[in-house]
Amino acid sequence: MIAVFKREFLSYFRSPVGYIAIALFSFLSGYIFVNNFATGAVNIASEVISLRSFFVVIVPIITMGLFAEDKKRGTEILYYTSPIDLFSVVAGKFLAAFCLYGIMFVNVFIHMIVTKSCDGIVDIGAWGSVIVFFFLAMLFISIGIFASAITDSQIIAAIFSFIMIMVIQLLSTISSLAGNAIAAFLSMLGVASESSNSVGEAITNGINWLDPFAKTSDFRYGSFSVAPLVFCISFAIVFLFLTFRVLEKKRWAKS
Amino acid sequence: MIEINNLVKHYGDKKAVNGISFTVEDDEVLGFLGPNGAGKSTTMNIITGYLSSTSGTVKVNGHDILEEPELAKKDIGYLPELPPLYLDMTVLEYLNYICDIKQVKRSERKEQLAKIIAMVKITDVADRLIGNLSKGYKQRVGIAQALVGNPSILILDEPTVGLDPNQIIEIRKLIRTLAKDHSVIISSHILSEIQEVCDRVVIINKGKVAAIDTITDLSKRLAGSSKLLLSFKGDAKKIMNEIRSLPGVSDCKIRISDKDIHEAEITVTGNSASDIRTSIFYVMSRNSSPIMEFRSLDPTLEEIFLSITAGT
Amino acid sequence: MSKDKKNTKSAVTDNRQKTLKLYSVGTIVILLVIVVAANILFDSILGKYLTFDFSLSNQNSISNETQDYLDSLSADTNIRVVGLMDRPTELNNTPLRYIVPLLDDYATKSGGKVTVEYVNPETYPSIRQELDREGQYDLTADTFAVCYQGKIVSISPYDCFTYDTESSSYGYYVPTANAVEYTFTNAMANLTSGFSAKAYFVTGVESDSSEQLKHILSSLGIDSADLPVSSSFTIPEDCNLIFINNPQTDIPQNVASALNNYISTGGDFIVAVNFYNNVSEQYPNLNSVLNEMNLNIDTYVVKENHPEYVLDNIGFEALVDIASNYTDFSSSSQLRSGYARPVRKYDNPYSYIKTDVVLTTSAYATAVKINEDGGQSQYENEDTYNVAMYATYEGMKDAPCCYVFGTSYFTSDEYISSYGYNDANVQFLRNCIRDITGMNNFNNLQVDSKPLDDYSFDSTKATASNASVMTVIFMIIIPLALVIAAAVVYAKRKNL
Ligand SMILES: Nc1ncnc2c1ncn2[C@@H]1O[C@H](COP(=O)(O)OP(=O)(O)O)[C@@H](O)[C@H]1O
Ligand SMILES: [Mg+2]
Repeated sequence: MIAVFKREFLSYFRSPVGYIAIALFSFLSGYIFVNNFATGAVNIASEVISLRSFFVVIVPIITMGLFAEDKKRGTEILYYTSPIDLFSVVAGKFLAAFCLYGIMFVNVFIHMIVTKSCDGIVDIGAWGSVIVFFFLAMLFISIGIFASAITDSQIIAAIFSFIMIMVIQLLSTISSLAGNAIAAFLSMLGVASESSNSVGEAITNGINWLDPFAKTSDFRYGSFSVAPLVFCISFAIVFLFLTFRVLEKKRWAKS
Repeated sequence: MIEINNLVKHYGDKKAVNGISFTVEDDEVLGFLGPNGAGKSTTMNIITGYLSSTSGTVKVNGHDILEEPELAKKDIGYLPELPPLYLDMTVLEYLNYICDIKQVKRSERKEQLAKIIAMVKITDVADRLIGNLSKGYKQRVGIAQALVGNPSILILDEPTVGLDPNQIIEIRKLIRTLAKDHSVIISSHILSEIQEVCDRVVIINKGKVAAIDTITDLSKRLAGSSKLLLSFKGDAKKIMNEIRSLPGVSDCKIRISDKDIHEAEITVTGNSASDIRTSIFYVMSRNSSPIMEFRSLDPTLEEIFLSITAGT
Repeated sequence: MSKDKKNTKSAVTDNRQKTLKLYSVGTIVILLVIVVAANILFDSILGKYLTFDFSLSNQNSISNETQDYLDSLSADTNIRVVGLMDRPTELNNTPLRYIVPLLDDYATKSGGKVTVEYVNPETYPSIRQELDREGQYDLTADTFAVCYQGKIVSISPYDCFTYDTESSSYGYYVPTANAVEYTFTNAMANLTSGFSAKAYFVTGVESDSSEQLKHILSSLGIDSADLPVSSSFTIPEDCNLIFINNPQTDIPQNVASALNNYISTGGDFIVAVNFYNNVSEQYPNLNSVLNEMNLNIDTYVVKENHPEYVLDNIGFEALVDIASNYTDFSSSSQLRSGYARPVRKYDNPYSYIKTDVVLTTSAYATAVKINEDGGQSQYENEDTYNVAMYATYEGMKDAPCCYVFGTSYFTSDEYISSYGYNDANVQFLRNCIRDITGMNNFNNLQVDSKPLDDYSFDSTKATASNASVMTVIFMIIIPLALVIAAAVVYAKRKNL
């Protein structure tokens, strides 16, 4: 695992990709910070929460090549023909992307220091949103890695993870739309409005249950709970495990 | 030792490998010969654990590749058709990475890499980017990669394809050095290449084994249908008739050209291939026909298959 | 025979692959089941126990200020807090999750002075009668009634928060501050202090809504109502305070004379104007009222030139200093102001009128005139301008007093909702109101909302020049350095 991690992590810095991704993140976080700074009040929690909307761009950039590039170049054969555990390959690549995110995030830590030195407040809510940020990063990176493993085209991998992350970010909107649409559909079919509404509500709630953003919204007020973190990390594990199975399929699949 | 038993691989409806069985003994150099699309790469990919077989088993030193993949893979060094090189790394970075994933002990690493680098002669490019190397050097780095971890078995898939003649000679030399203390499987679609370095040959065609033989036996069998090419000046018809009447000559076709250099393709049967050249020389000498060119023709693979199938 | 052998062999390998496939799919299914089960377990069973409140001002416990206030009440005090609903069980994702536990904390920590109960008026309609004999309070379901000696303050859960105006576009309301304790403690303090007052807002002069300001007043125990301008404009008898909050047009003549009468009977008022959308408005009638208090607002905009005061790039938004008489109104020494009109002393000769400077610019500000064509022309030389002033009549019982703000940065909904109740400006305004209504004689408590989310910098550091330094560092130097690093690494490795 460490071998793969080392290679992938360093390879971000052997090519411009890593630098550009960090530069992009620095610029975006800098923009948010500076704008807040100009108003004389900086809430690090809001900054971190705004930065979450860039997952949808940055995660595909840093994960698209992880497996797709190996497949295209024929280097994936190394994983199959050396005595290395395929799961540790997946874990190594995941860790590499996650650490790159960690490095990007140094920007926010610098902003925290500046905030502190201007007598602003870095409160527990800020740390809460940082925790949430990293757990969400885990979830989204694992999705990106999965996307990269199911295709040998980086572009397709990027598009796939982009769409997946987009959908998750829009879940709260989607859920109410879906709930309303189904309620409307049922009442059109002649179902009593009360029961059709409750079906719609159930669907809204069901989809909302999957929304990691809604689940973690209390962290920014300093109210931490374990369940949403378990949610993020367990689904990250699911996607990493699926990736592992997709890779391993080659070992036994008949065609 | 590798035991391959009844290997079958389907790609959809297409049977790329269709029931191949053979064994590779310790310290043997085995040639794996077949035309393009015969299923050589597919077979090798299955042996090394990259692909799964539709059915059939592969055992490497007694370990089944499917059941004990880690143990089986430890003994194999593999150079695939497309060398698995990271073009964005330098040779040393890359080989160190290979050491990492092949779990070479830290204490042995330096020594082992130094040995390999010296052996495949890549010392002067060790700090260069793999993407910037010539094809020949890339192939050497690929071989170096296969050597990491001291595997007892080397599997090289068409190691000389796409190289220029000088590079081919260098790589063959390298393979002969390696053959001293490794079991080696080399695939190729060129007979002469196999003949030069191998003890035994497995010939496959369309996913099936056509013949398994030692090089000497194969030579004998092929001798049954060797061909000679002769270019000369003089009376073509007369010479053709005289050659045809020589014992051991089964056929002689002549292409008559305007520039009064004619070409004769002589098919020889029996074990007298070496003798017949003397007789032909005397025929020409008698007719005072100058010999412009006289050499034996390498049989094409098609012809080998024909002669093999004809012989069995 | 050999054929049979072959067949069984291939069957064996087939089975092996089937097993691997089953194993592979099986492990995925098992993992999914475990993950879903674990999530349900954590979500609905363990979730409650694994939630921790680390917030600085523990959201669910009362602060020292409230505790001190409760301790100061006599032992036989009985404040009844009645939730007009069934006791909620499911608190998640409702504002009640910050209210119910906190009220329980009031009950436990007050030593019986505060009691909390939940009565659903739909099941027990008599509760309304019981609490509100004369039917003068509007007790709707799902609100809280704080009752003390027959007087009631009604609190709606949604009024206990300020909301992030931006994120309502995400489809849900994100509270930016938890003012639950602020609201309840202030309600109790107002009830127990016996203070009551009524404020009127002069409306109909294109002034903004004053909802936030009304919230603040109500937490101070001041009821508020609107007083639209009309030809029959009169000021009600029960009026203790008049607000003229950001009129975009001048008040009519008859309103001005009504106000002059109001002043002569000792009425108090607070005026706030600004210079944003109404650059040519001269407020002659409003000024005629202010002139009675020897004050005047001018048709210029204050432009700050001192770099340590400037907040935007132009100088229209800037810090202002609090004059020495008013420093105890705020914990901060400087406040924000923007698009301010200068407020100055008028030349009214009566010496019993006493004016006082409240907020001033630096000594380097200028007053700028905006021409018809939108261009600026400088009006006066660099000087200190007043952004807010106070005036009263000396030596008179029940004298009229007024605060005049040249900026909307203290009273407007827009400002208060973006900076919250704990902002220094809002705190300052609150103290002006306490001062002008004489509330301090009744209730000296500074029961503010809990300092939850005050992210303001020390205002001396949040200057425009610092902001531009930050812009250069974070948006130019760091990204550029990284891009250069990328180029260098690329160029270097390309030729290895
Ligand atoms: N991934 C694949 N999908 C479908 N057919 C394939 C695939 N790989 C190889 N084949 C087919 O299988 C046959 C054997 O291929 P290969 O083993 O590469 O031949 P060789 O290495 O002997 O040239 C060829 O006909 C080829 O077209
Ligand atoms: Mg091939």
